[in-house]
Order: sequence, then structure tokens, then C-alpha cells
Amino acid sequence: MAHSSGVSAEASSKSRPPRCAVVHCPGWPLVAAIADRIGSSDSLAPDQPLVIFRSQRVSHCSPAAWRAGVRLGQRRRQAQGACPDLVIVAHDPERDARWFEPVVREIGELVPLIDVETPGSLLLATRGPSRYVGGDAALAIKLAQLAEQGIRGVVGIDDVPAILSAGGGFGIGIADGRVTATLAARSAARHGQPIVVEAGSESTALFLSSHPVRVLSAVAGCPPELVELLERLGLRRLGDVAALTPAHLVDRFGNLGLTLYELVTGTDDTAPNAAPPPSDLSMRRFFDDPIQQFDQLMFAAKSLVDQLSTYFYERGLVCTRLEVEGETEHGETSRRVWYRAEGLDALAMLDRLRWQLDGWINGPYPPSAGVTSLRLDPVQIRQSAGTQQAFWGGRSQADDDATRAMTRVIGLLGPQSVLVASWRGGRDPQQMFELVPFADLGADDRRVVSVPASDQESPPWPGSLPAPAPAWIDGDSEPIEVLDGQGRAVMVNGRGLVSAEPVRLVRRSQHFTVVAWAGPWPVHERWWDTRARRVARFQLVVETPDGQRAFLTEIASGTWKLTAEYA
Amino acid sequence: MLPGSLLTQTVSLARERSLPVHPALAPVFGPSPDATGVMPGLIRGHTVACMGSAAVSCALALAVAPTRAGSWVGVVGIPQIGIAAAQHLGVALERTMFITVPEPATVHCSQETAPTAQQSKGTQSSNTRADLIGALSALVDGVDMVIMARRLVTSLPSSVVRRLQARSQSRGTVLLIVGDPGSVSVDLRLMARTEHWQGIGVGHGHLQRRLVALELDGRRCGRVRRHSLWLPSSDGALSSEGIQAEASTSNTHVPANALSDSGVVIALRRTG
Repeated sequence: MAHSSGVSAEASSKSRPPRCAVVHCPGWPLVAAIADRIGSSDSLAPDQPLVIFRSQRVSHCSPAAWRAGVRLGQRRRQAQGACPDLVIVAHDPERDARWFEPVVREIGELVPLIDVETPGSLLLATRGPSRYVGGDAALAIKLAQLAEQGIRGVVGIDDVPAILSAGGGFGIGIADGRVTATLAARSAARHGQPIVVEAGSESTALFLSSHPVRVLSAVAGCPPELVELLERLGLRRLGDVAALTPAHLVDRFGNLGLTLYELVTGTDDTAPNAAPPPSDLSMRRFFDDPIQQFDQLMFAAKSLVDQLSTYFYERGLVCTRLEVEGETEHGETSRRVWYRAEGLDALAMLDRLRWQLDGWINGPYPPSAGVTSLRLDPVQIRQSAGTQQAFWGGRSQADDDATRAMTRVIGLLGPQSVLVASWRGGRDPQQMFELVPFADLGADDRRVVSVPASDQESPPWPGSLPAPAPAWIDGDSEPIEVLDGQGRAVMVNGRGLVSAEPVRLVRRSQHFTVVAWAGPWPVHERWWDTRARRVARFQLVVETPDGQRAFLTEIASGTWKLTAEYA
Repeated sequence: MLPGSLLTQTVSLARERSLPVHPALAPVFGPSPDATGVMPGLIRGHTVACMGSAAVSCALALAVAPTRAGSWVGVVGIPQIGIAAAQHLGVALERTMFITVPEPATVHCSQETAPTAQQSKGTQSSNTRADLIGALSALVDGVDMVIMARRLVTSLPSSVVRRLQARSQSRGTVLLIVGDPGSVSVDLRLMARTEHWQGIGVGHGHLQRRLVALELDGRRCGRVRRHSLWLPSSDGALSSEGIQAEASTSNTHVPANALSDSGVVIALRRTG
């Protein structure tokens, strides 16, 4: 009897997650954007309305912009409509990481081992540091000071509180387990003071119970479909899910149900099936010639990452926590631990490496010598859950294969080589879609690869050309000549009138007879701006030896150009 | 007596050996009249060249049905491709990737640069070429259809092209070459010739639909197959509706042009 109770006590103490502190800045990209421009000609005032755009939607919005009516998820036009003097900055994870580096560095003085989840959010185990500074509350205050100092060291003394407030300030949360601490830090950032959740399962469960289930996808990487399903089942708060028995959840969701139960009761710290990694997995590469350039270093890192991810892939494993260490000739090191709940695939690993090494080499405290070694150490791995092949929609084998191919091509030809289409809208066929690098979508967006909005969803573009669209669009429009019956160039006057009927088209000194034409469709865009464009567009059909060909042409200040072919 | 595993390996459904094609293209890619019960489609592993003045639209039209059915398509080295046109034709853009490759000029660099000067540049460009070939192989492994520009294919050494073709055969990927493939051996040649455009007059109307005559010729094709279709039709997609009726009247398509007689100056039409 005593023996069995001893075992259960041991089991329960083992299942108690370790106490963690999370430092989280909800609007970190805003802080980084302001810090990045300090001292430059286009510097930003901290109280200026500022938004970060990501995939053409507002992803972060400063308090000033919020007050003006800008909301998350808006498109550029809506946001500018709400607030005309809005400053728009594009999303740039490398910039975020570069400016987060000083903060990590400053906190690293107190606590040597820190998990960086994303730029703007880090996690540390509190057992040692808490005893050192005298309790959790004292540690929370100390962390807030350190984080602020980290920024102060690089941007100058006066601006710090104002800049930080643009990003919502640093929230410090201390609680049992990663998920609880992260939620505490998020609430702390909202309330403006640190939140310490008492140790123990009751207080943890009480703290968690009031949060909506929606946070699971943001904090614990739960699939959004699961969250949606829970909401439809009427389980709107974590407390509702925790009130169910684990057996019920397993019954309904399988293994995922157990994970879910652990998440909502705060007993989950690490991903399930976490296994200590085999000791030989640490990969280290020494460079005979110390590497000074960031690009060269990333090139070297790429092959390491390739090797590591192939190893994991072949064995059906996923690395959730990766330690990256670089060392220079003078013995300076940069050592960070990166965590991603969904697992770090090759692209995610490369992202983390880029953030860390860019922050180190191009950051405010660059090393004094070239890098001589690079080490990747998977600290935590688990079995890959695999992907369930969906019956209707969802991810398929083809999607996985294609994503792998894209990753491989990016590795070989560079991040700008693989592009996906994204709808942008515009009057001309060449403006309607934009090609965005797949690598820039961010590892976290990649599960939903580019879904361009269809024509139907968007309002019509006045002055756009009627369908069909040309299948061949000339990047740099080719100059041509369009002549009338007398051999004079056809012109369009200021009122949009054509001087004569186009009869011949001269392209690369070849003459073609125009058999049909339509236009002019004048466009006078951005007349208020330096990017003003005033053109008249024509469709011309010419007769060639092998059938008709239709072109889209435009005339601007008397010069004809061939912009596209209906090929 | 063959072992069971060998027997099961050799059996696969015709459906699995081919990629679907749009119904409007089915008469071209359909089975020969004597083979019954075989689905029309593009045989996996084939190399197809799309030629003629409507080659680009034709290649996009071939990508419509596979992407709708869940296959991925990679478009390599054709930055000029009209994405809006692809969407109008019905290509599922969320399963289409566009790969930009180093210019063929730089791929050729190792032959063109003088051997004495810029030794390092030569090695770098051969690296680029090795990377390009690696990327193409990775793509062939990962997607069901690869659309390539003629310029890219003809810039590669023929041994590399043959290797890619062999790989695509074992993986079941269809290679589409846009433009005349030159000396590259292809399984099918699809000649898409623009018959005429409709909807546009002399100074009025706008391009609406195009009658395209397709001609399929190939190694195992038997006779040359001919078919006409609207590419694009008036709703932007492709269709073969009403072609027969149209064919008889196609010679009188040019609308009577009232405007050109009436005067030289044509008034501005506002479009929004």
C-alpha cells in the first residue's frame, strides 16, 4: 500500500509542470519598427498611429491607431480610411529578431538558459532565479526592469517607456507550466502589471478556466478546426473543457483529447511523448576560414539544417526545441534555445537561425571576429503525430509533397525563387495578382498556402479591363509603333480622342496589319502623387502568318508600348 | 509463377496513370474510339509540348483539371505568365507555385566566360546550374505537373533533360513545355492555333472569346487529332459549346464596321 502510494505521489510530482516565467510583448513588431528607424530621416514618433502589415492585412496596431479606428485584419484601404495619417510598416521577422536580441541578452545576464519562442516572447524556468532574487513577485519586477534596460541600451534613455507603450509594453507572467505562464503574460500585458499565478493545481485550474478556448490555437498550437469544433460544441471557455472527464475527451478526440485535457488543466508542459534526444544528434560544423558575412553563415547553416531535418523526417520525429550556438574566433558565443509547439521543420529552423544570427552579426552588439563554429542541438524531440489524410479538403499527400518540394527548391535557389500568387486587385492585368515569396509567408502561415481572394469577394475595380485577361504579360513593356493609313503614328489627345484609326503595328521592325481594335481606355491614376500614371489602353488584333494574335497595348505621352499578349 | 507482390505492383488503374483533363479538351486526349471504358487524360510521365499562338493559354488549360482535383503545378521560368488569366481559366492558384530560375545566360556562363578570367565566377555558375538541376528534380518529385518555358528546356544539356524525363516517368509527373521544344524529344505535340477572336470590332467592342484549333500529334497517338474550342470563352474559362454551328459561319466573323466609315475621330468611351 505504502509502495503504491509512493509510486503515485512520484507520478503526480513528475506530472506537475515546472514553474515558468514568460516575458511577452504583444506588439513587439511595432516596437522593433520604431526602434529600427530611430536616428534615420523617417523616424517615427512613438505616439504616431502605426500598423504592421502582414499578408496585406493589419497584423499589429499601435494604441494610437486603435483609437483612430484601425482594427486587426483590415486591409490597407480600410485602415487608411479610418486613419489618414497612418504609418504603415511591412512585416519583417528579421527586424523583430534583431531588436529583440538586446532584450534576450540583458535577461540572459540573470538567467543563462532562455527559450525564445518568437521575437517578442521568451520563456525561462524560474526555480533558480526566483530563489536568487527573492520570490516570484520580485523576479517579475526584475524581469520587467531587465527587458526595459535591454531596449534602453540601444535606443537612448528618453524614449523607452513611450516606445514600449506603442507595443503594449512587456507582460510578465509566472505560473506552473508553459501554457499557463504564457496566458498570464498575455493578460499581464493588457493590465500593465505582472501576474503571478500561485503554485498548485487548483489555482492554476482557476486561472485557466476563464480563458476562451480560442487561446489554445494561439498559445498551444492547437489546430483552428479543433477550436472551432469546441466552440460549436458549446465549450467556450477552458473551464468548460476541463469540467469534462479525460475519458470523454479521449472518446471524442482520441489522443488529441488527452493533450487537450492536459492543456486546459495546466498539466501539460511539454508535448506528449517527449523523449530525450539521442546524444549523437547534436550537429556541429567548424569553419576553417572564420565567416564574417551573414549570408555565408546562413549558407553553411542551410546544409546543417537539411541534414538534421532529413534525419528527423526519416525517423518520424519532430524537433520542438532547438538550441543554436555560434562561436567566433575570439570565443564570443551566441546561444539561444528556440521552441515551437507544432515542431520545427526545415523552414522553421532556418527562420530561427536567420533571426538569431542576424540579430547577432548585424545587431547592436556585433561580435568582434568571424564565426568559427556553428552547433545545432535538438533539445527536445517527439514522435511526429503525422498528418491525417482528409477525406474532404484539408491537407493531402500532394500538399505535403509539394511543400517539401518547395522547401527543397528554396534551399537550392534561394528564398526569392519560389513564389505563390496573392490577389491584390488593380485596373491592369499585371497588377491584379502579386507574386509573394513562399519563404516570406512565415513558417506559421505556411500551413495555409496562399489562398488568393477570388474576384467575386472583392468589390469591382472601376476602369479595369474587361475579361478575359491576357495570358502573357511582358514585365518591361516592349516599345512598338502603331501607324495609321498614312504611316503616321496614332496619337491620343488630352481628351482621350484617337487621331486616326490604327492600321499597322510595327514590332521588332516587323509590320503587322491590324484587323480589329478597341479602345482607348484611358487611365489617370494617382494624379495627386509622384507615381502618377496617365495612359490610354488599346486592344489590337493583328493578322500573322500563323493566325491572329491579340495584344494589349498602351500609349503614354506619345509612346506606344506592348504590355501583354492574349497568348 | 510470379510472386504476388510483383503481380500487384504491375496492376494500376488507368485513372491513376493519367491526370484528368477539362471536359472541353477531352475529345483531344480521349481514348481512341476502339478502347472502351478508358478515361480521357494526360498520361503521367509524358512530356507534352504546347506550341502555336495560343500555347500559353493551352498549357494553362491543361493545368485546370489537375489543380482542381488536388494536384500541384509548378510553373518554372515563365515570369510573364498571366496569373489573372490562369485564374479565369479555372486553375486553382492555391496549388500553383511559380519558380524563378537564374537566367539561361548565367547558366551557360561556364562555357562562355574565358577560361583564364574569372575562374571563381565559372565555378559559381556551375554551382548555379547544379542547383537549378537539383531544384527541377525536386520539383518533378513533388508536383504532378511542371510547366516549363522553351528557353529553359533548350538551355539545359540534353542529357539533363533526358534524366528529368526519366525521373518524371518514374514519379508520374507530366512535363509541359511552352513553345517549340526543338531537339528535345516529346511524347505529344499540341499545336494550338488561333482561328479568330470574337467580340472586338474596328474601334468598338472588346476581346471576348477566341476560337482555337488544336492539333495533337504524338508518338503513340496514331492519327493526328483535331479539335476546336473556345480558349477562353466569353466567361473566361474554356468550353467547346456551339463550335459546330460556329465553324460554318466562321468566315463571316468580321463585324460590319460602321464607325470606320463615318469618321476619323472615335469618341472616348468611359469604362468606369
